[in-house]
Amino acid sequence: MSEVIASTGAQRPVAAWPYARFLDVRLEGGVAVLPFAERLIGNPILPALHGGAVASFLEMAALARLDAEGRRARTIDVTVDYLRPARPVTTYAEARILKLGRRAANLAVEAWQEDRNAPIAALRGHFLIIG
Amino acid sequence: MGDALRGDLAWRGTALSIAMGFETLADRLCAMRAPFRAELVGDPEGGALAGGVIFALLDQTCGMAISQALRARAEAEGREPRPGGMATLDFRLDHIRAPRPGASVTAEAECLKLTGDVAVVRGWAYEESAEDPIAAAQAAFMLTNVPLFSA
Repeated sequence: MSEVIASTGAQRPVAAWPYARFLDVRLEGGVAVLPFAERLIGNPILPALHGGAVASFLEMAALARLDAEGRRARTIDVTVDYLRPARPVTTYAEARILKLGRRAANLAVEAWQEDRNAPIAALRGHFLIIG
Repeated sequence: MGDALRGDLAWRGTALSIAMGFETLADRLCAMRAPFRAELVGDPEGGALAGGVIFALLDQTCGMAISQALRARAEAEGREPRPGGMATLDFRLDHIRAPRPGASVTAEAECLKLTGDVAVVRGWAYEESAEDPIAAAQAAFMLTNVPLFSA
């Protein structure tokens, strides 16, 4: 615990964040991958992934996309549209940079499961460039 | 234990909120707390709970606010609460400032409007005082016939 809090200086990519490891988010090329796990469930009856897990995954995909540009960023705001139930299977996400400015960036992220053309959720967000 | 309290406790029952250690707060109408956990830290340099954790906490708390509003409406109309749950349509989260390193975060929510199909809610998150917020959320949920929890 103290090890994580005390670590300073070294810039760690999003994929190395403790919370990314908690969700088990992986990066495969330009695509972020969220393997299914029971603890991600939000609605046990359907069952469906928790909206907060999906949103966290989309936000990480956006921050990882900025990592790939060599930019370290902090989230200003995110809006997540939930398009379809997130079923208990692997989820994928790809982020697009709509605008990369000196101080802020605007990104759009889409998440899908089996069918790339049937997105389950979409995020739009602004990110403050801090490094 | 009253049905209302049991219903609120059920909000801890989703797997994600158990895994993250979310707690309901009995002293406020509709509040949940994310105790600080090192494994839920975002940028380790900042050492604070990740933005996604606050999103998940607020999403859960907003759902709880709708559940309470549905129950209150049913009581006012003298009938049983409608079966079924809710699904998030859209959810906007503004990060007002970074949470403090090592701090637990509390979220509160209120349901602004319930129609037959849609609920509009807002929520806010803070460490110590709602007067000093970390984040603000505004969301719309679709009311569904799918229950969230088994009876």
